[in-house]
Amino acid sequence: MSQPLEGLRLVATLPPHDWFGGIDYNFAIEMTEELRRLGAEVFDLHVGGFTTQNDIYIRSAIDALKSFRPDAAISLPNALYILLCATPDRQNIFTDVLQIPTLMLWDHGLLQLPQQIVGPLPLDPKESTGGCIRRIKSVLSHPLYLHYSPDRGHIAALDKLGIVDRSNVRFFLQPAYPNYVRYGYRTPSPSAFRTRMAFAGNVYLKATDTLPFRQEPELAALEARVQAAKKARLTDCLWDLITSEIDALDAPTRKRLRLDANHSFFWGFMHEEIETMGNTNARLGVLTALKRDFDFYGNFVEPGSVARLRDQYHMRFRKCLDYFNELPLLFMNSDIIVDVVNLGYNTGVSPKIMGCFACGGFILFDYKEDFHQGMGDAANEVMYRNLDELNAKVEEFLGNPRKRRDVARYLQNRVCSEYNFAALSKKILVDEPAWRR
Amino acid sequence: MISIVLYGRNDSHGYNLPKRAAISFNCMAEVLRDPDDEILFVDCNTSNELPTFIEAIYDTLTPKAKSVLRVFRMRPQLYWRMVGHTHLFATEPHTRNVAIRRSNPRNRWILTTNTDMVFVLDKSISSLGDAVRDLPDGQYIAPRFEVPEPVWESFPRSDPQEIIRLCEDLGPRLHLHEVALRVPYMRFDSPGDFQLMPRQTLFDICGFDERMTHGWHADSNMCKRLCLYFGNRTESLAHLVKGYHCDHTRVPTPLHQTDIKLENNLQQFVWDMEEAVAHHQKDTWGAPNEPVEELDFSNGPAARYLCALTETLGGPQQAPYPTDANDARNFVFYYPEHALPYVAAHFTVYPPDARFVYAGNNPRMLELIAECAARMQFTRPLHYVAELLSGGSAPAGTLPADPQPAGDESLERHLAANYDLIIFDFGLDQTGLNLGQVARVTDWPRELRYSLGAVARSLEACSEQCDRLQRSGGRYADFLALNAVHYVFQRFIGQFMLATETPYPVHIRKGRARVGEDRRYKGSPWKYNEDLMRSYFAYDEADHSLAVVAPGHALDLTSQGRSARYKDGDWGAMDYTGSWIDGYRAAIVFQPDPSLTGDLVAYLRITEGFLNLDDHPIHLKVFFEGEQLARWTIYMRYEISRCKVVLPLRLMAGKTSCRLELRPQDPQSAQQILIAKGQQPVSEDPRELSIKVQQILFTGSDRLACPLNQAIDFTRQGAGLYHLDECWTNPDDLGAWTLGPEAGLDVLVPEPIDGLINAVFTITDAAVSAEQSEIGVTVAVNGLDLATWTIPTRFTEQRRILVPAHILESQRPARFTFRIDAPRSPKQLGWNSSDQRPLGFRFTKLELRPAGSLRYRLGALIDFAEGGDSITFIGDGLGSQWTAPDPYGSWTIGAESSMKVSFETAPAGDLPAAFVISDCNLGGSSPRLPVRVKANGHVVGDWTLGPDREAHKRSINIPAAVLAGSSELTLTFEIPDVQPAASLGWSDDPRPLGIRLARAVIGSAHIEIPLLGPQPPAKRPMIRRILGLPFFAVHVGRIVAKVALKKWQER
Repeated sequence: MSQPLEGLRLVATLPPHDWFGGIDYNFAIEMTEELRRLGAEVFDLHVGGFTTQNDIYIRSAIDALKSFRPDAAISLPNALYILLCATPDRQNIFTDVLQIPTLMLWDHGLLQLPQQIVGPLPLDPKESTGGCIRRIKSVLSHPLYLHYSPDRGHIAALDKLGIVDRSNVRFFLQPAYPNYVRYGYRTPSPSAFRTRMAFAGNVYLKATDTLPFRQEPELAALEARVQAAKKARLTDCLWDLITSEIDALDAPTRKRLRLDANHSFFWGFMHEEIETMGNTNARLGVLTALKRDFDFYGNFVEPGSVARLRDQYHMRFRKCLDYFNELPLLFMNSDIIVDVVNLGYNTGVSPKIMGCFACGGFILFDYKEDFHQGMGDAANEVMYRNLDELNAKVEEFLGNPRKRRDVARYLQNRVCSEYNFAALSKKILVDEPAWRR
Repeated sequence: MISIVLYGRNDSHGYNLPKRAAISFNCMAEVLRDPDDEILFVDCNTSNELPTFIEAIYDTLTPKAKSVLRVFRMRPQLYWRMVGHTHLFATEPHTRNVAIRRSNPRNRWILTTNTDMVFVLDKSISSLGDAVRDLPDGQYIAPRFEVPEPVWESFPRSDPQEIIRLCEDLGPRLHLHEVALRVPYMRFDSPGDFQLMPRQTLFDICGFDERMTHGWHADSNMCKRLCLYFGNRTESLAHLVKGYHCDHTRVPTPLHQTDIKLENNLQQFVWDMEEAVAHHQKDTWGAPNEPVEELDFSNGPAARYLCALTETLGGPQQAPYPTDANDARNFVFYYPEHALPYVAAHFTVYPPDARFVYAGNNPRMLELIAECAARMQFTRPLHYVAELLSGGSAPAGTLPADPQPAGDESLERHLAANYDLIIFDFGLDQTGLNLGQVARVTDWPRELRYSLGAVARSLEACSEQCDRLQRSGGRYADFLALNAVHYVFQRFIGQFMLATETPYPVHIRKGRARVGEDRRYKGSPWKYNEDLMRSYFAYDEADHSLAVVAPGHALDLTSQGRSARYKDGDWGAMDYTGSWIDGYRAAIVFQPDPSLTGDLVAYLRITEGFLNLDDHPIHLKVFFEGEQLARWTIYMRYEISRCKVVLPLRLMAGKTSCRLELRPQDPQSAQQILIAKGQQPVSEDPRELSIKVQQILFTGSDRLACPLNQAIDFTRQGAGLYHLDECWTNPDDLGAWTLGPEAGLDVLVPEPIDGLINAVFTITDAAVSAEQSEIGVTVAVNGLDLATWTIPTRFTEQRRILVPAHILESQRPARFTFRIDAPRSPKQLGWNSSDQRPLGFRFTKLELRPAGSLRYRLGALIDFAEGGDSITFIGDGLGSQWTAPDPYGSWTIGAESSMKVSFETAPAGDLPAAFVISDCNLGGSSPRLPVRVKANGHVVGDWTLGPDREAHKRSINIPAAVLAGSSELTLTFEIPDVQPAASLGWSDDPRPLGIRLARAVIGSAHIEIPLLGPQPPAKRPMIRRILGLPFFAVHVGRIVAKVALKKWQER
């Protein structure tokens, strides 16, 4: 039987294996394996050699790629890594050297891509540099890039900033990674990480405490207003809350504080406010409002903050889990996982959400419009809009295991059949092959 | 007389199976008396890793039981082949048939029962033989009585007589005797626990029905068929035998789970059964043609284990073996004698004709295993993989695994498919190596280390072959890994092998290849480990032959490249950024191209320096063929450093192997640094790191060429970095900065040089600020100081020095060195807050130009100051008789300093000469300085200098007779009372300085005293300034337009 990607020759990026604890590398490996399973021939391009400008490797990689004759390039696990693949004279391997269509699968691209292009991002307005929009735009607007975003909010925000036209970015609902789909077909040891209710993720207490721009009173005040607004309106996306607060500042203040997308400080500020401050505050806010006991897993970014989680927030911290082998077991063996979707997503969901459903878990998370559009009304069963609704859902699903199982199985089926990486690959490479145009 | 047929498995069926079964075996043996009586036990489908059930409980059996017991091992592969689809791990019909087929033909009766039964005979008889001896042929069933769990749990398992007595006694006392009847052809409930029938009859009806694979009712089926066979009769033996059943339903077994119970079809196999003979299995029942192992408890491998081991090991251990369970230094070594018992322990579960193959490079271990296996009575000799055994010869009695398997079959396929067990040995034999204290694994000879990479490749390839065999339904070998219980080997085998996590002192892991769903993808943990395997053991490279190196040869030392064949010595971990030097000697070995005609230059790109916490630079000595050629200093931790060394042709000529060795002088302990940072190492970290090398590029020395009148560009775009040594920053768009107190560059002037060379340096910045003005630089060529610069500003400027011809030979590179008085960091200068690099000046361009004629024209000015032409006349005296020119001139050194002048035309008549002396060495007890001037050896002047040290003029007159028509004049300044400058407190210069000559003229008595020292920029005439105004306006306009454009874009 012929495979859907048979005959396709793809080059895929493999991140350095020691970045982000190896998670991105593992994801990329799994995704390339999935592409192969679907019939494609895949050239693994290791990005590490480019990060140290190893010209011997770069030359040999280019030669090997030329002889491989790829039809297209695909960024794995996300678009960031395509941007790193450049020669010492700054020619991008895919668009400038090979000149092939390059599929850019964004993660939370709104924060990630500008950081890569104009970084390192300053955390002091005085060190800000200008011209960011032009620089980001000039990189991302290359005609050979085919952009795909898992977040309609990101597409709209970048369009509004004049960086990427919304018509040039295609939306996809975040897929589950292959590993989690595979776990869905396994029978786990029932006692492994068995919990009634759990949270798995990171909060950044230490980093939040040391954000340098809080020394600037106006920035600190802005941050306080934003966090208060987020607390009051849980489902509003933080990006919008911050930008509206910035818009409310008078022009000279905005200019002095470099709170303008054309300035590198703006991107640094947004990144830290959303990824560090936002995630920490929003998650702690939700978790401390839970009326039921739960187990806290993860926090691998700040293992040193565990004591504070225990002592100050009275959380029952368990352990840091391996993302690939242990986290699926937690999902599968927990009655309920509670989550606050990474605030880097405006309207989309993170791979964790889809991974949990894929392996048969049940997760409650804050409302995300893209998930609702993709899954229909069933999505409402697992999304909360406020803390009362969350607590009510927790009680309902803990008290009704059959309903919990029904919802989980329905969503698992949808994810494993429609919203997984294999399905996405087939869609963007075969069914809707924008790259062939 | 009678064969009792039992079956079972080494598992935990029910609970407390070993005790229940021991009670049963011992009691059954107790009622057997006839010499031909036997108990046949078929060990069904016990995992190959385990001994049979009987071996597991053998110590609890009575001598009587042992004497009548015969054990057949039906291994999983035979079980699944015979039984096919079943959810059970053991099925009754097949196992019983195997035993019946192999029962003693002299016995008339077969009793099928189970390993939880105790038989109590009527007092009228003393044995089971007595009970059956005179019985007519027929089927006989006895009732069974249930013994509650606490009762049999209290029985002394090794005292069968007492158990039988207790049954006899407790049966009635506890009211246990209930006779449960069944249909007539069965007589009693659970007939399978005592079902007696003639052996011949069983052969006649073709044994138990082997279609019954789902459990239950095999006894009912047999009852029904025998009943039919014997004319619808089933007899009772209740009057002679009572069967006591040790009940074991405290927990459900797979057979006893009531809610999901599967069973054979009663309708088909019992109720509708009308045929006694199972014709369908006439030729196959009981697997008559299968070689089912029968265990030899007296002389089999398991029985001979201890004896074979002690004989092989020769004598007792003299002292405990010292090892380290966290060993990251000498982890390729283990004590073979200590590991042998654990290896051989796994042999005991294999049949005597098992095929073992050794894949490793440890001749001692191979020898021990071979001898022990032979002593354990394995019938086939130990094989070994000859390609892997390079460290010694194979012992007698071993055979190489077929190196050329049939057809297209690879060696690994051959190993996986044709052996029962492959022993992968990740240890090395240190016999005769004299390694001493091993500080790091790289202390082992490279080829031995690399042989373990080959073992690893072999394991991986065998694992892949096992996967293929599994997919095609084939059988494949078990794996046993030696010395893979910790660190990299443990992680390595974990990728390809499923094995139990054994304790460190065992030193082995036994398991099987990961196949099918158990296979692992090669994620991040694998990549870390793979890089280590490649670093130390050339895991990814089979070819270790020396590479031929010629100009243009590039060597990638990252994990993206293949560098093992070049590396020797203390190369540590490698990743995608490069290879660490971990230790004190790391070498690159290669074969120089025989056609080389000139020197090679080796350029090293260093991606990281393991500086200590104080950021002290790292020093390395560079040796080539044992000769020290360079000393490198690495200042930067995370930025790229580039080092180079010229490898002279003379050291390579005619050689087939050359060694470029890097010797770090002060490698840093990774563990100490960690501790100093306040962190706690998890275990010992033996690494001693210095630099991480990304790549090495070999070029010809022509890469250093600097043709006359062609500028070398030291910016990012230029080729200047090939000339620079490691003490420069990475070139940017404006050039490269000197790093540290001394930076060098090498140039090779390709064409023959006639006369002096004017070296012109373009400097575009310097590490100075308002607070820290001026930076002093001494410029030397091949160790000879030629100039002393004072760089006062950050403005672009050109500096020139004259280089004597004899220094710049063609064929050999010349080295310019720049000694920086006081390097300063950008942080010190307040340029930024973090950059600590010790900078000097930024160098952008170098051009060598011919200096023109060397002949002196009478009356011409000789300039002794920096950038002047005094070198033409000082010649070889520079450095020995004269200091390098500085902005004020050049000092005489020592008691006598000469200069030699060759005239364009020989002068006629007396010759005046004048000098500007800018300073003299006075002070202390010498307020005056006598100077005698000689011309061609004749005294032509006696000066006394001092006490004033101001610049002033002096003159002499040279009589015509002194020249006597010659066109050459040697002027000598004799200063008998010179003092070291340092002794006078001026500076730390230890040389004895005399006078500082600023300029001279011969053929004229007139000379001007110039403005000495750094000069302010010359004023431009007004007219030129006016003419330049339009250009200035255009320039300003451009700047404004550029700023406006940028603002517009940023808007």
